[in-house]
Order: sequence, then C-alpha cells, then structure tokens
Amino acid sequence: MNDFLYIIHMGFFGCGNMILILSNKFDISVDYVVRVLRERKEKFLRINTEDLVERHVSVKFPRFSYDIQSKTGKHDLVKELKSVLFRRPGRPFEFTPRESRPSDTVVKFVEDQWHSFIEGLRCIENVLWVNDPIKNHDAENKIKQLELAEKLHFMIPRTCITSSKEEVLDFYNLCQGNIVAKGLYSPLIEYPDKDYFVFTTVIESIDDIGEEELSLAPTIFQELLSEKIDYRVTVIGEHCFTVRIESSADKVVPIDWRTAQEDLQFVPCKLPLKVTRKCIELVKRLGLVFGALDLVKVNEKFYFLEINPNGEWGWLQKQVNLPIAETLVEYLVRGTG
Amino acid sequence: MPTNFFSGLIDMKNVEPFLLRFKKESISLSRVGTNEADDYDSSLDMMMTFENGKRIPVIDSTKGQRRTKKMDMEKGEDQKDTLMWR
Repeated sequence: MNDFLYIIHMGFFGCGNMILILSNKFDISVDYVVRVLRERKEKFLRINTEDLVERHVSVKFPRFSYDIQSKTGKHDLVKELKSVLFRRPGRPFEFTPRESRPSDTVVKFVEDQWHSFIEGLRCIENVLWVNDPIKNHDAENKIKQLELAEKLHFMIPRTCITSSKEEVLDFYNLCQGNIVAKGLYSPLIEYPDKDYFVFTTVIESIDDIGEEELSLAPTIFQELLSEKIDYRVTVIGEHCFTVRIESSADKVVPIDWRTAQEDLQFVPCKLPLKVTRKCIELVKRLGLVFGALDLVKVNEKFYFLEINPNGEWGWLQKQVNLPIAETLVEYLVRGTG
Repeated sequence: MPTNFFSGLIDMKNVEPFLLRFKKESISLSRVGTNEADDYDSSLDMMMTFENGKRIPVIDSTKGQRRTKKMDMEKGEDQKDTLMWR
C-alpha cells in the first residue's frame, strides 16, 4: 500500500458498522440486546471472553489491524468496529472445571495476556464504548461519586469516610446516633468455600467498636435517611429510566433494599426534571454513556447515594418492561456519530 | 492496642475490619451455577433452556429469573467493575 492509499485506509478508522459485545455467556442481560440487534438486522459480534482461548486473534503493525476470528469469518476491528458494549467479560477458563484447567499460575498469565489484548481495543479511534472500562473503573470510586454529586448540587447524605474511632464518635454525635455504615469499595468477601456480602447497615451503638478494627480499613459512615423512598435510575445518554422501589407486602423497604427477598415492587415513574438533568449530567461528567444511580427521596427531597457505572438492568427489562436494551442498541448503532 | 513484641508494630493478625461484623452469607447461586437445562447456543448468541418441552431463550422463561438483581448485587458485580476482570 503506498502512502496515499494508507492515508485513505487510516481515514476509515472508526467508520465501521460492527457492534462488539464483550461479556460472558451467562450474562443474560446481553441476550436482550442480542435479540434487538437481530430484529434490527444489525451487524454484531458477541465475544464471551472466557472462550477467547478458542479463537484466533492477531494485531499487526505497520498498518494497524486487529483481527478476530468469528463463526462468520475474520474481522479486522480497526476497519469494522463502530461501538462496544462492555458488560461482564469472563476470565479465560472461568467456567472450566478446575480439574480441566491449567495451573493457577498459568491461568493468571493467560488472563493477563488477554486482558491487555482487550484493553488494546481502546486504541481504535472513533468507537463508542458503553462504557469504557477505564472510565467504569474510575467512576466506581465512591469518593469521586460523592464529590461530583455535590458539585452538581445533588443533595447527599452527611458523610464521613474514616478509619478513626474519634471521627466516628464525632460523626455519630453530629447525626444524633442515626448513622449507617457501608463499604468504600466492593463489599464482597470471598472465602474459598463461601462468599459474603456487606450491605448498608444501621449502626445501633458505637460503644464496643475497637480502634483496631476501624483503623484496618476506611469505612463510609453516613447519616441515616429514614422514612425514605428508594429510586433506581438507569441513565443511557440523554435517556433516564426510573423505578420507585416499593414493598409489595405490608412491610417497610429495608435500609438497603437489596436485602429484601421477594416482596419488592419496581414501579416506573418520572423524576422532577431538575433531578433528571442532574442524573444525566453526572453520568456524562464521569465519561460514561450508561449508569445506574441509587437515589432516595426524603421529605420531598432527592438524595444521591451512589452510581453503579456498569449496573445490572436485565431485571428492569423483564419485570418492568423498560426499553433499556432497545435504547442501548440505539446508541450502539449510532456510534460516535 | 496490642503490639508485636519484635517489630513494635500494631498486631493485626486477629483483627477483622469493622464492616465484616455485618457480613451476610450470599444466598443466591454463584455466577457459574445455572439451571441444568440451560445451554448457550452460539449460533443464536443466547442462553437457551427447556420449558414445557420447548427450547426457548432463557430471557423468555416464565420460571423466574436465573440471575436476579439481588444475586448480581450480592456477588458484587454491580459494584465491582475492576479493570475488566481483575
């Protein structure tokens, strides 16, 4: 290829029409997106990344190309890629029985190599990522979330993130003994045999809290917002889908509604325009296209609690019939254009 | 605070972070655990299942959701998007 043709070739970067889905085969939410893409006859490639070890890939220079083998042939993503739905990529061998896997050391090595390969896709220009994994990661930080929410004039609960017992005492007194605690990072605790989760918990008393257990890791303490109504807001670009979370029985929705078992109802509703705009702006300012926000309403005021940049939504599509997959597809088809 | 005799540093060997006091066992299935009737159809790019003698997409199943919101939350997927899969 001479230089002139190469410039023309370069000009085609990001002008493709391929939608790439990166997830794992058990990610049922993606199935809703697949269905819409098929109905619309859009060109897409779903890669369940746990199976990458069974595919042939190659990236070449000069004349940057990014080839991935699919069941329909080889695709050069530099030429073909328009947008990426980055969901829940599986790890190589993740679903392979332990006895059939290579050693842990080898698996880790293999994971690292594939990780870099996928991350390299971000080099392809003019591609819409829903969401960019690095931006997802950044947006996961709860300090960043609260700081931005405050900047956008969201109401936020009084918060103290600390590893100091003295600070907890002061905060407890400031809030007149009405505080909750939650994890600053993912509160999933994985032991070899069982997994545990720490939900938002009301702190009844601080008398027996030891200095050491607090100093071991910073914890989020927030004022308890009682008499609250919970909202889950799913933002996709300029679209905002909201459900109010209600208890279907004669029960109060728990402090952390996720702890309720079966008796929750999700009622579609609209937020006040000002709040909707803030939700959309927050997602945009975090560099995301998609975001799932948790809000609560107390005394007619909406408080921001947190945002899950890659939050789950399949349950809303099915139970409440919100057109989330359809809206995602709309954005993926549009790409960066 | 207990200190290590040799290093002089605080001995944290038997201390757990405060939040772990409130840990609750995840009761939903792990990610891997799905209904035995489910299988991934790579020609359709969807998970399929058998229901009333018919092979249908799992998303059309009337037998409840395989992967509930709660399950994903508990497994931390909703809140833990570390760099891809790390």
